Amino acid sequence: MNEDRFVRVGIRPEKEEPVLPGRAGRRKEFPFLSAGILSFIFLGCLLFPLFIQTDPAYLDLAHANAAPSRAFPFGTDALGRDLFAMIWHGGRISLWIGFAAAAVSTGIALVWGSASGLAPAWADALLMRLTDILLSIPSLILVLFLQALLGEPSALSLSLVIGLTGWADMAKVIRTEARQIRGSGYVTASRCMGGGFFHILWRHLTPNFISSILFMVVMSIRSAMAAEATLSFMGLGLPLETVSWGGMLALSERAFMTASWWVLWIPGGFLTATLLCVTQLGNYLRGRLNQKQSNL
Amino acid sequence: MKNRVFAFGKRLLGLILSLLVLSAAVFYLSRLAPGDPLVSYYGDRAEKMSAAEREWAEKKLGLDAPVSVQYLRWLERAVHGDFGISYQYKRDVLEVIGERAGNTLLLGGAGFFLIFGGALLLGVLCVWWEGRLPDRLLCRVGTVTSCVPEFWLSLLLIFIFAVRLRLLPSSGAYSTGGSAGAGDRLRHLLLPLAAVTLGHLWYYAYLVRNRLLEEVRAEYVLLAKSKGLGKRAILFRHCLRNLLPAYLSILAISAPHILGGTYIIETVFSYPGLGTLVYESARYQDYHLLMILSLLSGALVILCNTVGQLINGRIDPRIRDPEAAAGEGARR
Amino acid sequence: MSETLVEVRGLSHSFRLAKRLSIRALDAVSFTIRRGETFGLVGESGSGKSTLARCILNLCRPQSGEIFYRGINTCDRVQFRKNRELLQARRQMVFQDADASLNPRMRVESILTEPFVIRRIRPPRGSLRAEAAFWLHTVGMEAAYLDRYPPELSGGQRQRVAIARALAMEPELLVADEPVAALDVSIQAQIVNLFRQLQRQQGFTLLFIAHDLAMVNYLCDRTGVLCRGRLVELASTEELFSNPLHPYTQALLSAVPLPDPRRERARKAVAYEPGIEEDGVLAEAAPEHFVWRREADG
Repeated sequence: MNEDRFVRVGIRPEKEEPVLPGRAGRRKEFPFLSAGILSFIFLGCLLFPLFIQTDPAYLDLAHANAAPSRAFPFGTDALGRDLFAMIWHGGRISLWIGFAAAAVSTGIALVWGSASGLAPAWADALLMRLTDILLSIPSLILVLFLQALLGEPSALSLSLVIGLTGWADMAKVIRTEARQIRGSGYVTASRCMGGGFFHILWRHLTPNFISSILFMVVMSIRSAMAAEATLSFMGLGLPLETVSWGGMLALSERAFMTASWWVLWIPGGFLTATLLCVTQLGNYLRGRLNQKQSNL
Repeated sequence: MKNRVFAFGKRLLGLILSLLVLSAAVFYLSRLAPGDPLVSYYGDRAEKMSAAEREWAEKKLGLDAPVSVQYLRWLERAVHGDFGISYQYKRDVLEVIGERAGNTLLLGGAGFFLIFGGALLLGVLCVWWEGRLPDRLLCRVGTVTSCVPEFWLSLLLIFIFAVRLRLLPSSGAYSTGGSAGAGDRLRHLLLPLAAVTLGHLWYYAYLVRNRLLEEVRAEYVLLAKSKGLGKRAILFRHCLRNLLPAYLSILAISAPHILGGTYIIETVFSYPGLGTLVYESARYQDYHLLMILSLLSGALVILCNTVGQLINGRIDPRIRDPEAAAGEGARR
Repeated sequence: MSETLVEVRGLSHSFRLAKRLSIRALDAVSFTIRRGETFGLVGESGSGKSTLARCILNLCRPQSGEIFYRGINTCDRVQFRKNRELLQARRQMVFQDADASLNPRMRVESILTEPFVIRRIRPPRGSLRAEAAFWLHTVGMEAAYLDRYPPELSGGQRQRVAIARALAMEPELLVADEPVAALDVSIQAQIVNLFRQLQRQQGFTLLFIAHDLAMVNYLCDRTGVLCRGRLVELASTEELFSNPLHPYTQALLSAVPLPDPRRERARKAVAYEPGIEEDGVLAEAAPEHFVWRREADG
């Protein structure tokens, strides 16, 4: 085998050639409507309480169960509280709890899931078994216990409770992804170069599941808000003086008797609209459209 | 064969160990939570008791010993099938649960079948008309319904059907006093069932849709088409069949999730099921009832997960033995 | 004879596939690699080549046996820890599948500078970017590629990036695990030539793993033949190809197609029945030519 033959085909310097567009697929359309509604609700919750003079917790019993009118744009509830003021004040709490709880659960899930995904088989099995046990306690019981431990419920303690109970599913997804990526060559290569756990976590794992994590974070904001509303509705969440969207619905039993639809529809409508918009944004973040043609 | 028995034994051992850890955790947690279990046993009387009376009562209920001793005592009796009495109902917990379990199983079971049958149907419909009007419409409606919180959905249903239209009863599992015939039960079941089903339906239908969409993009569909198979035959005989095992395992794993969802709906509808019982027992320190309920639901979750894993193992042997797969990979 | 860089002594490793089924990937393998040489390792799929490479680079803990790198026992945890910097920076690896070994979400620049980031080394050529551009240039690619992502590169380009990343630490030992197996034949030639040229420039020691005998013949100074986890023959490449002693090597060589049709037609494939390699020792049959033999024959 002589050398010329190889040299003739030997390495040629590469000139840059343009990247063909569209290979990776088109992104989904940005959900402008959802983003618009969401930012309206956001800004409303942020700004309106600054201008509204009415105290959302003020019990105006003379005007109890008033239908929406000029004085009370959204009406009043059975205790005579002004729904319009309550919506914007309550939205602050609901949104805040949603974000805080999602932050707590994302943090835990990220560390727990990637630790489990990167750990040797026995540690992985142990961690996942613990997660399963946690998941097997009815979340209602868990929430009650945690609340009892943390004492008097407040927005902070409630978001902590919701965050602490809501991370397990996300951790499982992260673990699966981490397992998949861990077997991949580039993590081996990085380990070979001496990359430590946190280096690999930060440089390799996080960027690779950032889109699915973003999706899960957004979804956990959504489920945290839903959880807060459910708990407050059941009387397990915030005390009555702290107004939140779920808490506003706690009085709906009384609304049944007087058939005051606004007490039921308005807070629930705001809650659902927010959840819906958040979901749409999450779906957008999840990634690209499947451009392949159906074979069917 | 011997291997199978061994594997089964290992799983059983894992189940028992998990339940042990679970029971210990719940036991300690429930004792940590502030609250007076005597109130749940004696009602208002507990607040007026003298110190001596309290001591006597605590001794009677076995609450005077350290928590670890209490746990071991409970465990010893539980092994013999004696799970203690409910403080609130003053009866054997198993009896209390037995009365209510039927209602929850009815609601959860019916909901489960409706959800999974409906999800499969909707998913297939969407794929059949992919990208066209029915698909887009279903996707829109589904996204909205999946975002409605369960408790609010229940409230709306009550408001519309019970308060406004006065068509259906708003609470309970049967009319008080009246004869609890099948028709009466069904009428009471409809609203909670609708709430359970609507809350979960689209989540699973969307899952079916996405998996099926991936499936119809596989090369074998082209092959089947070139053989001259029709659209329906390809979709049902090939794609759906490929999807089913995975769907079954998802179904198994999500069973407890759906049952958990019924808990909240039960509370809203004052439906006398396990959900309301869980809520009460945790709120009012009904320790023995709480323990057995946690154990039951824990066992259900673990059981369902195991079933799901077994199905997955059947589909893809690599999942069953991840180490073998790893070895295979490393060897290459 | 030049200095020994890597010494492998009695290396064994097996993978457990199931409860009772295990596969012996390596069985008492011993050899040395000298500083500056190109050591070839050939064998069929599943013969343990990659496992050996992984063991040498501490990606896989062997079940028994020792590996010495410049006299450091790398299988010993204490010694490994003490010399971690040296061992991880001065020994680099190029993987078979460049597709998988480059993170698809990282730009070429970040891929090339990852070792510097890990070790917190100031790049000798000023900025990280200049360093990345330099190494990219070394493997024959323009600096314009720095901002590309791996999926935007061709297979050969990706493998070059992987090589550049390995070289950026200026390693003493480069382990290339079938670096060309996943490439087109025309690109294979380019990459093999690149290895050869780079080795002349940089003077690293190369452990080149392949199943293509022609590549090994062209590139390597000495060659070892692995068969079912055993090193059955080890000699200088010239000697091995002209005078193969072990039946397995003979079978391998007889299977190489010849470019001349007349000779190709006259070629006789030698069948090799497995099992010959059982029980034996690696004995020196000729100077510097070791072959696995049954003890009785020796």
